[in-house]
Amino acid sequence: MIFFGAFYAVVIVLATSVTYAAARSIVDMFSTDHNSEENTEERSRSGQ
Amino acid sequence: MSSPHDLPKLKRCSQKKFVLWLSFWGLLLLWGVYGALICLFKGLNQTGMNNYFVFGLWICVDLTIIALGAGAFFSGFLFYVLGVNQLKELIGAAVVIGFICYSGAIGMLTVDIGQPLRGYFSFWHANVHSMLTEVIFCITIYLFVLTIEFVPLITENEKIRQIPLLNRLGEHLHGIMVVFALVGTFLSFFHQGSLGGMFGVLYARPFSHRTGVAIWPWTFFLFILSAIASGPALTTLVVWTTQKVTRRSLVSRSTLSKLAKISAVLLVFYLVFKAADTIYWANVTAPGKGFTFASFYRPPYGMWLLFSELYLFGLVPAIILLMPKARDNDFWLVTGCLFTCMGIVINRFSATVQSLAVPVLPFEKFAVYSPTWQEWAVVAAVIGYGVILYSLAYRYLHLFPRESELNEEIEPEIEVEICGQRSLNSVGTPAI
Repeated sequence: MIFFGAFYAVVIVLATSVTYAAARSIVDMFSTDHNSEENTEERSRSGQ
Repeated sequence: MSSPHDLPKLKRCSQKKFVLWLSFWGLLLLWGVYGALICLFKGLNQTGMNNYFVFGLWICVDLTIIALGAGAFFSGFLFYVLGVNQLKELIGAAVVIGFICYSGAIGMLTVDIGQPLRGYFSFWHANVHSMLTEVIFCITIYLFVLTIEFVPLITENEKIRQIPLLNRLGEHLHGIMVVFALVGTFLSFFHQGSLGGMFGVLYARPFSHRTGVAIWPWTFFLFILSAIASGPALTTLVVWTTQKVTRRSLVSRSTLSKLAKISAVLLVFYLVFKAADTIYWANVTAPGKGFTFASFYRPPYGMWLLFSELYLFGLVPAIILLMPKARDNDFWLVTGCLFTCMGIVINRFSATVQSLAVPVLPFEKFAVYSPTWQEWAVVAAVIGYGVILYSLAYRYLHLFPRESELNEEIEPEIEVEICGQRSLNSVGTPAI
């Protein structure tokens, strides 16, 4: 049981870390795109 | 991992030359795949294994490459956890070498179990009393860890880093790499140990059986020590060979020297414990079971195996690599690292094959194992696969962060006048 406990703990740590990295990448990508869209809109409004 | 913006363009050989290089290793791989398919379709009767030798060449090579692949987890531990920053120069290469070793070992095991479709049995119907269960669980999960560690290297590729999601994924994975390094260390520590423990608990085989502490026989600790001593030696050897084959400086000499020194210091620790273990086993454990030390060593597995493991491929490389002047000399550096790796080959060979060769019943004879060509072919396939993957990684990924910096001074394009025509030639044209 101790063996399985340790094993599943490792699996959970790995899965959480990979999910965190993947989720953050997706959020970052969209937030950057969103910012760039806003910047483009601002530039077009100011006539640049 | 460097920022994608500061990654310089890699200077590599022509596509034609590279394909030619790969084709040789590709043929070796194909030969191995052919041998593996014969074993899978016709069965394990195609191998030299029998009722005496349930472990053969494949397990011997498995144990060896898993030990030699320990350079990945140990370098990762030194760099990410202990902060030995000098190892940044070759941590990428160490990860790739580790990945090749572990994936090669698992590929070989797939053929070895005879019925790969039932491979999941070891997980689904796990025998929790077997050290082999821990080994199979840890090796599989550690291969996942190595794959995760490989991802940031792949996302640094010129084309792949143009895909925003993958580029960011690589950066974020790299940001939490310390977690993977720690998990990798934990997994490696236990499966390297359990591989040794697996032999140490065989109380019906006095050649392998050892006393120990709690549930762990001494071989548990000896296998860990030997793996962390030989892993960095293989990494040093591979990086040095890459430099020679490609004719480029990839890491500073001091880094190679440092890695070799780490290997030598650990090898000394290992040899001290191994010698103590051997003396106790020869004088107390084995006689206690009615065996004499000399009865374990008969031709072809004679006493030369033990002496070459401990002296020629143990003490000699340790002494060589402990001397700073020797480490600075290419010949001695390579000899030291190669001998260290050879020592591990002999150690793992003794643990797997010699253990089974020694008779344990009065009517048994000292058996001899000889692998068939199919078994050698599968080993060749793992070597071919390893070289191909490493070559592809070297060609398309930034394995060595200081490569451009180290080659800056020697590779400026110089103008050479040939037959009255001005052409551009480079001093540091890579061979591969």
